[in-house]
Amino acid sequence: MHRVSALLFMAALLGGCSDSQTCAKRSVVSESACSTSQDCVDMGFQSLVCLDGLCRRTCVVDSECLPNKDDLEDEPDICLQELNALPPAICEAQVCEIACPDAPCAAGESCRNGRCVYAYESFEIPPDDDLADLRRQGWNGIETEFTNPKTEIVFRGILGCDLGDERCAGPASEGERFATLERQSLQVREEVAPTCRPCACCLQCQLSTADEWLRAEGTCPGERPMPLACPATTPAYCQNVCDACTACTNAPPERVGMNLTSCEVLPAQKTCSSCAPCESDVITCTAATCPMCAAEPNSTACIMCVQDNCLESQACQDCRVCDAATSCLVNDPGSAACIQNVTQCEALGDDGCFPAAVSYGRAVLNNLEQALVSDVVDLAQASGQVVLQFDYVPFNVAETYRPGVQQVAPQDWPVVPQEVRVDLCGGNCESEASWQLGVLDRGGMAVIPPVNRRNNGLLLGSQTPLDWTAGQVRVVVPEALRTPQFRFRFVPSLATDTRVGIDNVMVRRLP
Amino acid sequence: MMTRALALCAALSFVGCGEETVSVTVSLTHASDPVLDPYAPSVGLSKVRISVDGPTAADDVAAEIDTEARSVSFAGLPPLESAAVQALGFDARGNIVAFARLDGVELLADADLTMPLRRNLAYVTHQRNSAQDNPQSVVYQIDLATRGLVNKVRLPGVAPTARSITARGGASLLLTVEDQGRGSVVQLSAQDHSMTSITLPVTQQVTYGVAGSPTGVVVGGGQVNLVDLDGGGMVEEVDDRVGGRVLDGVMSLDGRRAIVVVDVSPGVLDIDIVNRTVNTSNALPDAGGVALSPDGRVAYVTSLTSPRVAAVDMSNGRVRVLNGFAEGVGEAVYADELDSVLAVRINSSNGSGRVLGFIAPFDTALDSETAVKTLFYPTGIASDGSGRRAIVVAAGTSTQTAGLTVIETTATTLPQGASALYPTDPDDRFFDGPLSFGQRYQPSDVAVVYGR
Repeated sequence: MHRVSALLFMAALLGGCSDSQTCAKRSVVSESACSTSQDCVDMGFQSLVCLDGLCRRTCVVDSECLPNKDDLEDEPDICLQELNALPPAICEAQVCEIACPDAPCAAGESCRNGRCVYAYESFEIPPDDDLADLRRQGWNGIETEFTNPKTEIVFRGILGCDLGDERCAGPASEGERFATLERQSLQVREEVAPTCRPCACCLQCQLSTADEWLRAEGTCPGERPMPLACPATTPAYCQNVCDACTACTNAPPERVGMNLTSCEVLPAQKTCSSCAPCESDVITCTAATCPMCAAEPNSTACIMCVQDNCLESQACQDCRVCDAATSCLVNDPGSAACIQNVTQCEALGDDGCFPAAVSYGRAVLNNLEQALVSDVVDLAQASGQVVLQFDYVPFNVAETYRPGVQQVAPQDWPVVPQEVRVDLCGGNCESEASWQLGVLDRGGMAVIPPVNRRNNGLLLGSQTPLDWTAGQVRVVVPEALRTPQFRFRFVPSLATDTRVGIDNVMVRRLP
Repeated sequence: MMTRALALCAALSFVGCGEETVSVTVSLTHASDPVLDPYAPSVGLSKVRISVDGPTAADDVAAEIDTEARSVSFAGLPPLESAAVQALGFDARGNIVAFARLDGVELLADADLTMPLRRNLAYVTHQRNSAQDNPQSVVYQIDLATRGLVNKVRLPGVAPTARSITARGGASLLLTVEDQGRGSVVQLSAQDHSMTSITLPVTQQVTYGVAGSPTGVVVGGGQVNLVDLDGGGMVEEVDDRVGGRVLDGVMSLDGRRAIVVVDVSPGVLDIDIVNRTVNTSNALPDAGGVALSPDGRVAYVTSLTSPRVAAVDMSNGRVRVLNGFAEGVGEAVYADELDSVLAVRINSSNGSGRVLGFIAPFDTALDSETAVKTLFYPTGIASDGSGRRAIVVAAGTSTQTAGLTVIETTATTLPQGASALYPTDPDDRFFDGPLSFGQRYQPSDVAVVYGR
């Protein structure tokens, strides 16, 4: 019965000590063969077991391959010197092995924490830096229009901190920090331009029931709607006001942009008669009065100058008065200025100007923007079975969610699985077409978490080291992707405030 | 072949007992069902470490085989009167995802041994809930490494309720079942999940059995009965004067003795299966649980109200009282590598649970500060065959808070725990608008294949 290591541990735990004055052998493997662990004891390897014909140290984690400091307190100095001369060891496949650089790495590999790797990341602060930051550490280096600020590096926190945010995120798999993957949700970005009163009312009407319109018709347009869906055809009760919209002044066609719903298109195509001259007046005035705008048209000085000097023409007053009236009815309804604005706006009749959406920018991040994308990893010289390996913890990931779809009513948003995809790319990684979903070494697609690790109730900070050991993933890097430009990415498709933690990420050749 | 003199010499552990050695070949079998097959890719088995371990220090030897190999041979072993042969199946991270074990193997001559390698699965029964699809009839299989639900089986019968579950080594799980007022023992095969049933004279509570011994002990309903687990029938009613609710129990590795803890005084039943007798003991007040040492020689009985532990010698039933835990505890398991008893303490005022430790060889309690918190209202604890990982299931305060806790101990680490909500059922679902959600059952009892 082999209980040597357990009893040594107990002795340390209970305050016992060794009175041995001879140096115990600390190597993790013997040179001579054994038949049983008694042979190891006879050779002086007190804590090794006879495994596969040699005396070896079994382990679960790297720390078990290091000498226990408690065991060393009573060792003679000569033994400590002997010990320090030994090469460090790591736990590899549950057996202690000599670590690199004493065990040499192959071409293209570097030695990180005793292991030969092509790339390694534990999201710790780099030695030559004072900040843990994904971009500074080489992640998300491909330029994209949008970025995902939700995915970030989090810190385990100081003792006693309130668990649950990025500064107090609980234990990491390795070190003090790990990354949390989260999805950046839908964000609407609209461009607005003036349209005529009938067009603003036509839009409002189409989004109202007949009764609602009956009540609103006399005071329309009210608050500007932001429709996600429109009726298939114009309701009969809206026909008159929408016909009047058709008769309004045409706006420059180039102002009509993307992602408008069908009932927003006509208002976007129309304007009121005062706004085009106002725009012309402003251009002339700006050139003459606000020279700073030539160099910096978006500067505060330029904007202030234009507002102070170039909006006083009658055309500009007419172009702006209805918008001002709409605003003041909310903010300052009884004031003399507001009453005057309302009066002037009503006087303009169908030629009153109201804001309308003319374009919606892209609101959904694409995969490359949503993902945590690795730096380039040179795998040109890689050989053997190469894998992307990492540990993860799902924080109460439900089975499905409903990602917002731009210009689609919420009730029509699809129900899709919550998951994080692990994609690989061998080059030209700016192009979405260059990415492919990875395959796990045990088979199946590289999508986490599996169905049976969802709904675990774990909140950020409540995980323990055991939670990290439950989730290690190895994604096979196929030979076709072993290029100098290899990258990998984690693409989160998760509900709002749902996270998956990752840590101890490495690209390595399996021993 | 050894001489009798050499065998005696080896049995007495004399040094230099001659030069004769034995060779042993250990072969592994496995289930073919992809859910139960430890070699199925989804399990992530990366290698198997097989060891032969005798009764003395450092008489062990081990070898590792990859997932293609099914056997390994050891040569040059000293003859052993009684050895434990064990297989640990590791995944890449070092989690034990498969296990096999043979106890009490005589290795006085060359031998070929075969044992079934099983996935490291916990089997969990559930509480009744009328808003759900008869969870009391459903047994989950939960992966001890990932804590994920991998499969479930439904008990046969009209309206069966599983009252308890225990492991019969790597052979089967023993479920004590009530169905329309009738009691039975349902044996769920660990090989293929086939089920056989033995009818009981009354509704009882728990069944204990070990692999290699046909006789099972059924306790509860005021009776102690013996059943033939291999033949499938009642053997004998041993005692009909046993009251109380069963809290915990163990059976010796040779199947000759069982120690069962009940919630009445005297709280410890010492069941001699060979002689068909039941003795009671009041060595401790309010006995709460019992755990068996890895060699099967000692049963450690805990007390709900006293920190002390009663060590029962499984060969003769003698009791020795030890200092025990930091506090009074209940249901218990053994953590082999740490040589410790782990036991559950429930705060009766709010249902919160903790698992405390007691280092048996040193008769020393682990500090209360090292206790592992469980979720609320823990209802069962079981350890896996390796004795490295234990699982505690907890009913929670509602279906929303039911959960489980895994606890890992190694020779060099104190108990580490990790809790998670209980996995939701993939089939029993409810709708909230267009989204559907799995029901979360509340567990009632747990056993691990090969666990003790």
